[in-house]
Amino acid sequence: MNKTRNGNQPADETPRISGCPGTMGGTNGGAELLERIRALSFVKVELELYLDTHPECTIALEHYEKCIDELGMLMEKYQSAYGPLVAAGGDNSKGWAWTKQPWPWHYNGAADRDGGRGV
Amino acid sequence: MWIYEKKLQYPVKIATPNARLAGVIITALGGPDGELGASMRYLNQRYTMPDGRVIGILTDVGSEELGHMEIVASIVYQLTRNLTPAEIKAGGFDKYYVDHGAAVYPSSAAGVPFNAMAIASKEDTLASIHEDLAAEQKARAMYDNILRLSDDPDVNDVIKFLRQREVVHFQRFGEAMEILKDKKF
Repeated sequence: MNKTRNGNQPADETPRISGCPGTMGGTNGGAELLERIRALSFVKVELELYLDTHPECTIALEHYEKCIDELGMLMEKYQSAYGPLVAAGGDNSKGWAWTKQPWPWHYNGAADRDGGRGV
Repeated sequence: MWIYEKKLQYPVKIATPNARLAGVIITALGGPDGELGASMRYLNQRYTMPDGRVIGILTDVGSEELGHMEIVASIVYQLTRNLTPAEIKAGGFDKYYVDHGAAVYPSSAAGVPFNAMAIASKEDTLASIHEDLAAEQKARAMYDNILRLSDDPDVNDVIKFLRQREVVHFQRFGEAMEILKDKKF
């Protein structure tokens, strides 16, 4: 535990975006695909911020185009199998899919949403 | 206009509830240097900015901070599950709990409800952009303090991510400041 002191913390290693057995994506491979989407979405945001202040950087632009191509493909793959990540992305043939899966902050998946959290 | 993506920017999976830690971490949501303030500051400043690059970075960082708000809320949500009244009292979380239960409410760790006095939005572009640089440092220092107070590795992993984002935002706002200075707005 770091002692209280002035000044910056020592530089931390860049946090891994680790695979997390989250409640979304279920237990049949969706979780791993979701982590790939999460990692790539992070790259997308990071490049967007960089491009905002460096709009002429062609290298960043190239990376960005590749990133959104792959991300689009992964999103389509995930949403068709596991449920929507955006409201319009779901298969609504059996009813409105957006509200059916657990939400991202839930710890126990459906149990949370159905009042199983408890205090 | 905002689009919501149904995933956290960084995953939150907190194995061990902890009332005391929840009472501390709530400040990263509704405290003076928290994510709600950050997003409101940047999203409000952007309207009168005179350069598209600066409007862009304020819009996009402001939007990312909304996602960070969600991450902090998720940490507090998971830290406060299945607490007994005894645990709530022992953790000093009773003053929050009596008004909010285990719901998420934007306030500081000291119990001050979110206050827009913590943010500035000024037409003077140098005033606003310096405010933004200071804000990112204050947020980074706040996350440093949380790391000093928390022994939970699940929590600390997420906090380190949020802290690193503040460092990156600071870089981008530094570039925005140069843009504003160069064009002598």
